[in-house]
Amino acid sequence: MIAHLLLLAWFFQADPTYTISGTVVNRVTGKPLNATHVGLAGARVDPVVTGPDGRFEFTGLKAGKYGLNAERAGFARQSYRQRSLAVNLSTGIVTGEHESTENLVFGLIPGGVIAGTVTDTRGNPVPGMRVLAYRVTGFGAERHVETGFHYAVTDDRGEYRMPGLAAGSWVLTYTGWTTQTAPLPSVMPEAFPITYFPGTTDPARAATVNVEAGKEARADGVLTAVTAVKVSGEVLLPNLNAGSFVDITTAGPLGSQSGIVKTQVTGNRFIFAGIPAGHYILMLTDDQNRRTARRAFDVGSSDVTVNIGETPFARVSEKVEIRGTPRSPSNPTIVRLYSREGMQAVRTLDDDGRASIAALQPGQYQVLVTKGPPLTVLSLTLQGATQSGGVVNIPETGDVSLTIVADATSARDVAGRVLRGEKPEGGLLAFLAPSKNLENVTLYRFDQSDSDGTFTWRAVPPGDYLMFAFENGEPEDYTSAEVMRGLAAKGQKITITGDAKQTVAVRVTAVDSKQ
Amino acid sequence: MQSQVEQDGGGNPKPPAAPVPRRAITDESGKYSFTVPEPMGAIIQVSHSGYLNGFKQALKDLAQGINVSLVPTGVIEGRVVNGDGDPLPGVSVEMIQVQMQDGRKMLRPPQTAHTNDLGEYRFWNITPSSVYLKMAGYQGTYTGVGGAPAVANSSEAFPTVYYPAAADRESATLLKVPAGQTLRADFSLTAHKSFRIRGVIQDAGSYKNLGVRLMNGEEAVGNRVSINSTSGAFQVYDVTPGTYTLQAFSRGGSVALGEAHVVVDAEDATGVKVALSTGVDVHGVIEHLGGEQDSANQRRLFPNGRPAPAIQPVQAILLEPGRIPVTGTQPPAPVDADGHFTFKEMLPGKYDFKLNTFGEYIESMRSGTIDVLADGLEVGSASPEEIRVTLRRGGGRIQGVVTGLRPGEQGTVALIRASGLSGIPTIVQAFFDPGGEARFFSGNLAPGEYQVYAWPTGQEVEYRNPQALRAFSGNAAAVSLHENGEEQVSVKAIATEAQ
Repeated sequence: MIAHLLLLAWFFQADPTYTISGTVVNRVTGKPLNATHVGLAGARVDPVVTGPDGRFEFTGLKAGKYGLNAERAGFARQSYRQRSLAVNLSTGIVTGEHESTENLVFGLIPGGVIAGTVTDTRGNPVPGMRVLAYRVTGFGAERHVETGFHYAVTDDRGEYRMPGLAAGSWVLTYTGWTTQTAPLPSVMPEAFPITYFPGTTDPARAATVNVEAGKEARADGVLTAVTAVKVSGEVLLPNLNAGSFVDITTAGPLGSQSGIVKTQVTGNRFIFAGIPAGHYILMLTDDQNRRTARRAFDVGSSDVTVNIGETPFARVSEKVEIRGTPRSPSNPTIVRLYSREGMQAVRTLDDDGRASIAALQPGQYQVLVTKGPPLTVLSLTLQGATQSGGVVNIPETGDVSLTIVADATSARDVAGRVLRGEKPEGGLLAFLAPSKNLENVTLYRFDQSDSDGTFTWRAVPPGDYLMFAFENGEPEDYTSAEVMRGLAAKGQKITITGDAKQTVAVRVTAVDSKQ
Repeated sequence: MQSQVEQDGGGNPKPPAAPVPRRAITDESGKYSFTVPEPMGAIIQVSHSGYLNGFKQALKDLAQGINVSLVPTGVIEGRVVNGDGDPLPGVSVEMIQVQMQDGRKMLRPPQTAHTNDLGEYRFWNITPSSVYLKMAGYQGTYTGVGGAPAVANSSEAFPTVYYPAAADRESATLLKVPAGQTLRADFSLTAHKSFRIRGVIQDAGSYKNLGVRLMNGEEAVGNRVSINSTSGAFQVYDVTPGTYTLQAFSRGGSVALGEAHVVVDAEDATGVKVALSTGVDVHGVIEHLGGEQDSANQRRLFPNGRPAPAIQPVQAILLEPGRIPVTGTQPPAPVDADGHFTFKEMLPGKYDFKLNTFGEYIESMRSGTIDVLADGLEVGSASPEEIRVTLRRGGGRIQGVVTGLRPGEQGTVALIRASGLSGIPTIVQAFFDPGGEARFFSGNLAPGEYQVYAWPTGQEVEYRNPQALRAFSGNAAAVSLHENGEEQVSVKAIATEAQ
C-alpha cells in the first residue's frame, strides 16, 4: 500500500510545471491596459486577453525559455521589455525552480507623435504636402538616419499627424508639389522646394525633432514658393530597356535620401515639369529595378537640360577564398555589401567563388561573407577602389575587383550571462566591441539578456574584445569607433579563443547616462 | 486669395498654332490680369484648393474684366470611439456620394479615410452633394492600417455602421454636404464577437493579383484579408455574424470573379471554395422591320442618296458598379453585317444596353421574356438568352413647350413610354426661342403611350424610378403617339427643391 502511494506520488511529481503571469501596463503612465492580446512563444497556447486590471497568466508550463508578446489597438505589436519601438530586442522569460516568473510588469511602449501645420510665407495652409520623417541613430560623426521612414500628407488646413513613432530624434522633410498642392502642376509657375524642419532648404541647417514615448511633438513648417521649371534630358546609355525610369532625389540631412518624383524614360528621353529651384541628384534605374547611374544637378530660375549615363556606376567583380573547412559546406557562399544609407548588393558566388555586380552606387560599404553562419574576413584586396578598416569605398565609376580571404572555421557563438554583483539580470544590452580595428562594424555583437541573465553573441571571430552590459541605449548608439574610444576604460577585456565551450560573464557597465 | 487662371487666345485669327494657355496668380484681393495685344475672346479657368474649379467663357470684349466666382467645397469630420469613449485608431471611414445618372440614383465608389491615433477622420474638397457615411472596420493588411497598428488576433470587431447608427444603408441618414461648410459626424462603435472565414480560390495559380472581399448586397464590408497567391488559400478576418456574399477576384490580365454564399453564426466558417470565372458571353441580334417610311425624315438624315450608316456598336452600362471589384467598363460590342453582336466575358451584374439608330426607332429589346429596354438585364453565371433588338421605321414626333422655366433657363424633357416596370425614357432639351417660349422636339419615337415631364436642366430628377416620378404626376402630360404620328404637348416644369 505504501509502495503504491509512493509510486503515485512519483508519477504526479514527475514534471513540475510553472506559471508566467503579470500585468500589462502603459510603460509611460504605468496604467494597466485592457483588451491586450498577450501571446506566449515557445508553447502551444492560445493568446489571452487582458481585462480592465491588465492581468495575464499562463499556467502549466514546463521549465524552459519563453517569449512574451502583446498586441493592442493603439500600440505597435511588441515583446517583453522590448528595447525600443525601433529596436527589436527583448527579454526571454526562463521558467524553472529558482526563477521568478510571476507578477511580471509587461510595459508597452506607447508611440510618440509628430504633428504640425505647414503654411506658406503668406500664412496660407499648404494642403497635400508630403511630410517624411527619418529617425536619427548613432553618435557623433556616426549620426545618420535609419533607412525606413514614416510619412503623412497635410490636409486642407495644412495639418499633418504621424503617430506610432519610436522615441528619439527625427529629421523632417517637407517634400512634394503633389497634385493636391498644385492643381495644375505642369503649368504652375511656382512650387515649394524640398524644405527641412523648421523651414530651411539647406540640409546642414536642418533641426531635429525630439520625440518622447507617448507624447506629441509639434513641428510646424513654413515653405517659401520658388520658380518651378522643366527638367529634361537624355540617357546616354545604349541598349536601354523599356521600363527604365529616372527619378529626382535629394540628399537630405544625415544621409536621408528621398526620391521626390520619377518618370519613365521613353526612347532614351525624359522630362519633368514643375521642378522648384534646388540642388538634386538625378538617378537612373533600369528595368530590373537596379540603379545604374546618377548625376548631380542644380535648378535655378530657367528650364534645365541634364543628361545622365556618361559615367555609369562601377562594375564590381568579387572573389572569395575560403580557409578551413566550413561547418555548413552545402550552404552557398554569399557576399553582402551594404551601406548605412540602405544601399546593398547581395551576390551568391558561383562554384569558382566568383560573382559580379553590374552597377554599384558610389559609397562606403561594409563587407559580410556568409556560408550559413557569417565567416571571419581575414583580408580584403581591392583594385579600382580603396578601403579603410574593412570598409570599402566604391568610386563614382570604373571597374573594381574585390578579393576576400575568409576563415570558415574559427567564428563561434559565444554564450554568456549578465551579472549585477553576483546576481544574473535580464533586460540588459550585452555588447561586444573589438579592441582594435574599431571602424569595422562587422566585428561588433550584441544581444539583450533574458530573465536568467543569459545571452548569445553569434559567430564571433577569435580575437581581443571589450565586453559591456548597458542598461540604456540602442546598439547603434555604441557601434561607433568614437564612442568606443570613450568607453574603453569601462569595458571588460576578453579574448575570444574559438573554443566552442567558452562562456563569459559580463558585469553591468556603470554609465552615467545614455552616451 | 491665390488662384491660377488660364487664358487661351480664342478669337484671334492670326496665329495658326493651338492657343497657348497663359497663367496668372491672383493678388490679395483676388484680382488677376493679362495684357493682350488686341481685343480677343478667352476661356478663363480658375483653380484654388478648397473650391470647385471655376470656368468662364468671354466672347469678345475683355476690357470690363471677367469675374469668376468659385463654389467652396465642403468638409466632413468626426471622431470614432468605442463604448468606453476611447478613440479607435485605424478604422476605415467610407464616404459614398450619391449622384444621379441617367435618371437613376447611383452610388459613386467610396472614398476612404482612416482614423488617426486620436480616432479622428476628415474628408475635404467635397463637391456639394448628398453622401452616406459608413464605418467599415479595420481594412488593409492585418498588421497595420493607416499608420495605426491593428490587432491581428482579435476576436472582436466592429460591424459596419452607417451614420448615425444604422445597420444598413436603407435606414441610414443621407447627409447633405453644403458648399463651404463643415459637417461633424461622430461615431460610437460597439465591438461584437468576430470570426474568420477560411477557404480557397480554386486554380489560383492561373490568375494574377488575387483579391477577396465580403459583400453585403452590392456594398463591400470592410475586412482584413490575407491570401496565399500560390495556393489560393485565403482568410477573412473581423467577420461579425451575418449573411454575406464572398467575392474572390483577379485583376491581372483579364478580370475574373467568383462568388460564394457564406453564413457566419457562432464559429469560424471554413472550407469555402470559390471558382473564378472571366464572365459569360452575351449574344444579341438586331432585326430591321418595315413600317411605313417617314420619307421627309429620311431625306433629312441621309441627303444626296447616301446609304444609311451601319449600326454603331452596342453599349452595355453596369447599373450597380459597386458589385464589381474593378473599375472600368465593358467595351462596346460591334455589330456585324447580319446584325449580330457579342459582349465577351461579361461579369455578373445588371446592365442597361444602348444603341444609336438612324431613321429607325427601337421597338423592343428582349432577352426571352425580359423587357431589356425598360428593366435592364441581369447577367449571371450562365449566358442569358440572346438579346433580340427590333428596329422599325415610321417613328412619330412629339414637340412642345415647357412652361414655368425662368427666362433664359434651359429645360430637360423626359418622354417616358409605358413599357415594362419603369418605362422607357427619351431625354431631350428645351430651349427658349426668340418668341420667349421654351420649345423642344423629338423624332423617331416608338408609337405608344407617353408621359412627358420637364424640369430646369441641372436639377436632379430620378426619372427611372416610377415611385419618385409619382410625386410629380401633377406635372405630367399624357400623349398617345401613332406610327408616323406627330403630337403637340405643353408641360409645366417640375419645381424641385432649390440646390
